[in-house]
Amino acid sequence: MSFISTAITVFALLLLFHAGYSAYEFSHYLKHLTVNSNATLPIDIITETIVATGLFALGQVLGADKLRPVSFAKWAKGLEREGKSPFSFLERRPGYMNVTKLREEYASTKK
Amino acid sequence: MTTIIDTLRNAHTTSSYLTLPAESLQSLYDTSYKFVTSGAAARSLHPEGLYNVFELHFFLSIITGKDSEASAILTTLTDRFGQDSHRVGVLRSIYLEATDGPVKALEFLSGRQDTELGTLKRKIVILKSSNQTSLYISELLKLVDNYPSDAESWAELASAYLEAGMYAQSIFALHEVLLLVPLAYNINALVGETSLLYASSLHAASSSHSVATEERLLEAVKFFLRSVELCEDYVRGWTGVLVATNRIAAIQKPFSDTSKYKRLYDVARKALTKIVETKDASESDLNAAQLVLKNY
Repeated sequence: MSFISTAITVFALLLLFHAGYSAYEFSHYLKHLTVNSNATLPIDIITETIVATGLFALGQVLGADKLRPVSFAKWAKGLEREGKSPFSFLERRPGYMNVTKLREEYASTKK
Repeated sequence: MTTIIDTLRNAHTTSSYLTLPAESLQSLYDTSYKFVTSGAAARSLHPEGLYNVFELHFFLSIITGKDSEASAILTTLTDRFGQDSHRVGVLRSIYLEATDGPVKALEFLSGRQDTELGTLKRKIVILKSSNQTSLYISELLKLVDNYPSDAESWAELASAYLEAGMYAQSIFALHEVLLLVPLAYNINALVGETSLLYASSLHAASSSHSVATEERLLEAVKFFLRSVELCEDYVRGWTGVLVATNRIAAIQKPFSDTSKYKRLYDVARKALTKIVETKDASESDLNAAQLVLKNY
């Protein structure tokens, strides 16, 4: 996760916490004053919550790992280039390794 | 540290130590030696990864001739998993085969359970080194009869048939591998390559062009195309398409309509040229692509 995405996420969480606390304060205030008990949450608290949620999502997306291909063919191409093909064992066949031959080959190239 | 772990883990899962040139093998051994003996392995890996790295270190030691090192790591693994462990048994037999010879290894293997697939494979491999091809193939056939879902054994059977020049049987065994591992693009390409060899041998046998030869060539194209469908820009697949369509185009009087193969030839040539121009492949693949583009 990069610095920017962490900063955005932390800021968004603070904002969300602040919005939540404000909502709590508001309900507290209604209880004490008992004026107009039908009052709804002020628009600024609602806006703050929405903005905080959006920012949080943005921070998470920015900090995501590099996207990997969804298509099998593209994914296989990447693995093939790095020599990490999941099917190479079918042609190398470790269960049938000929250890004597491998040792001889290695020893002969080392001399 | 993570790159070292990554390198070693990758070497273990792809068994790259079986095909690496001596120098890379040496450097990989040095890496694993440092990692295992310094205790860094035990500190930074979970048990499963740790013992996989130990197994890799055993293989690297035994191939590079460090027998005492191999013996030490084998003792560690035996202490942890016991004599009865299937994998430890396989490692022990490899160790015996390398140091005391195949007779001792066979003696050890005959004392193991007959239900262990790895043990059965080792017994068969020892036959292979004694150069008895027909016996080797019949033993492998017995094994795939008992364990028909083991793709590795089918692939080994295919390679044994190929070495014996029995192309039709080899292709059959590869089809069995594809039934078990349908997405294995390298095996699709291998079917194509074997079909090409089969076509050549048929052609050589019956001086003139025959239906059978043509069918093998068309089938080769089919499997090469499947491999590039499964793996984008797969050099081995595209070179195969190019070679096979080139040979189809050279047929004087084809039995079937081969016009679309001329177009496929152009497509393959374009794909390979693009790969070479953008250097969008590993170095050895690029060299192979250039060579095939020049000659076909």
